[in-house]
Amino acid sequence: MNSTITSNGLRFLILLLIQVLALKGIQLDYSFLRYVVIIIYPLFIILLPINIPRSLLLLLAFLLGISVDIFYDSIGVHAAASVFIAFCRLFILRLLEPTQGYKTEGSPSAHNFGLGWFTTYASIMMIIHLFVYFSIDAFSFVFILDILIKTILSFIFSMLFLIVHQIVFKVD
Amino acid sequence: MRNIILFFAKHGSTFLFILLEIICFILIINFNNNQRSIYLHSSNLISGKLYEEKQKFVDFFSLSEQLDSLQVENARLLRRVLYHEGYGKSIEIDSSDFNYKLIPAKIINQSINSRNNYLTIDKGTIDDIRPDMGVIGRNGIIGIVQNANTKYARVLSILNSKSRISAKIKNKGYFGNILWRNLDTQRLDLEAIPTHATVAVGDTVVTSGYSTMFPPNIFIGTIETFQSKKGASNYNITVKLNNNFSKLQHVFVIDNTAQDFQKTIEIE
Repeated sequence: MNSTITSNGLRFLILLLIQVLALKGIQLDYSFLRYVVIIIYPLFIILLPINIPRSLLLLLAFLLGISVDIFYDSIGVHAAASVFIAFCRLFILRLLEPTQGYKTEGSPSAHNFGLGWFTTYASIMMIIHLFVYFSIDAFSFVFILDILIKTILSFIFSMLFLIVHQIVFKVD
Repeated sequence: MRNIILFFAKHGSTFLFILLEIICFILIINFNNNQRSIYLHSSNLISGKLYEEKQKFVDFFSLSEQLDSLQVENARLLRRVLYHEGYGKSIEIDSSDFNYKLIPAKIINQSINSRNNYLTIDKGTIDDIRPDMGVIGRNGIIGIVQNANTKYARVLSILNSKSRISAKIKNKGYFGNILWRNLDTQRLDLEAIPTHATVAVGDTVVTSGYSTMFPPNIFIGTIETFQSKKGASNYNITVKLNNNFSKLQHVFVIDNTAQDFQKTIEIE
């Protein structure tokens, strides 16, 4: 139990630091790559233990989002998107539940459920997160095409990070 | 009671979700200029459309009254033309060094009863309306454009505690500021006129022309009362307006084409 808190707490900090110190500065300046925003911090929400109380999940997502926002100078935007996927997480996990149910109390990670399953799960979460994030960022569906392009391109690059992370680290 | 607690225990996280999202959106709108302006913009577009429709309906019943006032206005202008040139002659005015343009607009919504009053007019950025333009009516100044979207603009009325307009007493050359302190929609305060000035009841107060919003000598009102407190260096002057704000419908927005030049040099 204690190790769960420590490892998740560490993940929170490390993802936040990587996001705001390294990834925020990355600005690809080549034609369509200009749309790419690499966002990996939702991995924290994705990897929280399966049986975590929902209210705690929402509060942690809010905390993470606000922390990212403070560095991105966009108070509320990342937080709104994070809280939204935290809310959706339960439904997505229910949808993807293996036939024999979730037998572990650990994280919904590639180590526990296989890389294929994790990729599907993380993809759904990331697509929703990025779409909500860019929509709130633009704050109007007039720019829907812009939002979709950004979502898809950023999704591809962000997912690469997530999958590499899952291959390198074994998360219980 | 027990049921209520059970209900919250069961759906608590959903409420928490809604609460957190509301907090996020309040933060977004309050701390991010971009989103804030879009929010204001779209809410203005929706309410603007509604007010315009309502105004069309109201206009229909006051057509004859409006026609009368426009006739009076026409007659007044025609009289000026007659005075200067004689009727029928073509008038040539060299207006190349006159930097002000007038854009006619119609008021589609306004408040006069609150502490901070605003008006909405049916012209926006498409018609070259920009923030910081002055707005005048037939009987004097009305306010200053605060923000504009494509089709509508919001005007900060002079009946607003944030309004502050540079004014002077005509032919006497004393300058002060016009503010609205009391809630009387007919009376404004003129402050910063020194007690050594000679002021008389009935003196005309006009714009000073020092700000970039209004050209000089636009009528504001007449002095109704003035008094000096002992030891104070300035008069307390009450100015009576000639405008009846509740009946306003047609206004003119002043486009000062030299505004940018004046602002630039003042910033430098």
